[in-house]
Amino acid sequence: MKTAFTVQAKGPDAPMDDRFGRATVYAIIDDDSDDPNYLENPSLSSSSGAGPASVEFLSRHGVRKVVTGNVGPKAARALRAAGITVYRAQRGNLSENLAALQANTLERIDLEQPGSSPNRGPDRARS
Amino acid sequence: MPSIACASGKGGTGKTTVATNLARIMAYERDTHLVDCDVEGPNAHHFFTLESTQRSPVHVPVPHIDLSHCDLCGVCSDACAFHAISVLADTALVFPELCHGCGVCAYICPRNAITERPRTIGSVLEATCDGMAFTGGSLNPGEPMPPPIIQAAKKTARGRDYIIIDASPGSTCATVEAVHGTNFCLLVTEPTPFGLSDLRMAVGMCRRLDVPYGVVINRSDLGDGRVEDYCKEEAIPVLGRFPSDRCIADVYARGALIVDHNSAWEDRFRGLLMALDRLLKREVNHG
Repeated sequence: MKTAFTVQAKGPDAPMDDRFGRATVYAIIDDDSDDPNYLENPSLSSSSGAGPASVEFLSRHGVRKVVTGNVGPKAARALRAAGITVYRAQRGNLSENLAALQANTLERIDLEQPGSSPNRGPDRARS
Repeated sequence: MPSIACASGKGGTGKTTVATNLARIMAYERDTHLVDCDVEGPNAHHFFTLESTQRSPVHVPVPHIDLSHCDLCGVCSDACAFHAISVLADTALVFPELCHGCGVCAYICPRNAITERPRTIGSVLEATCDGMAFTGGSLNPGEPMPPPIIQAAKKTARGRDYIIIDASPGSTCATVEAVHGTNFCLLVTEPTPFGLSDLRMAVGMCRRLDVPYGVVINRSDLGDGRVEDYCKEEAIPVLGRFPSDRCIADVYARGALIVDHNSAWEDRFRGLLMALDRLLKREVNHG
């Protein structure tokens, strides 16, 4: 199963990107491999609809899970329809979040109410 | 049928004051239609007693996808410039609030699975007031797209001898839509660094739209001389210089028109109309 991590750059040390639709890079990692495939976000600078467009982009790449900071309402609707599960990223970089996902310690984001978690600051996913 | 837009780069410079008072003076002798195209914050109607009002909804066409005919090929989503359609592994979603109503998805769908359905995003109010015609466009709260309302509002004034359009501040899509296709644009500004900075953008917009323009300097006795210098350097006609006057604020706050209450201001607006007539005549001769 493929998981997409929103990151600010390419590489295992890249800090997580809080934004889902306007993340700089998607690091896509298959369950049976530790080697990420880095895809630049094609809707990074689009004027509108970056969230749903990113869901479509990731869905076409076979992504079933996402690890990110925040998800907007339109992206949440598309993620629900695409059947993609979303986890809230922890402070730190890509490899730390991959380890946390594998250890099953990431919190799931409720796509019915996708607002940011109240007990964490808005830039919790930045290192 | 000249149409005159009142615009301003900066908000709060007196654009609506100029549009409403100029319309009143003009309507004394001419068939005049005032169109409030500041659809995100319409307020020109406060200054008139409106009669025989009629409000009509404004729709934009948005796609409806018949999933029993859709084979999820994704052609519509690729064609949509605004990401209003997401085609996923086993369904397709429409985001109406992102749709600009261009219709390309319905046109391009190879399976004819897309039809367009109207969605209400606001309304236009048509009325008469003291012999003048009035239209006010209004965008529903939360809606992001003013241009369809502006188009609908401008359409109601077609065929009038004189049309005055109150545009929104700035130089965004909404302002462009209001100013586009008019015969002249009055740029209301103030002699401050903010007024000058935004005036430059508004001038750039008029040049791109190929709409002739001139400046009204409001509160001309305050601030500094840089707006005057700029207009001189760029050979931009200044059609009026209005002093700062507490009286105008008092009358405005009561929802009344200064030309109805103060003869000095009536004279100033008559002077503005004469200057405008001269420039319009010149444009007609050169056009």
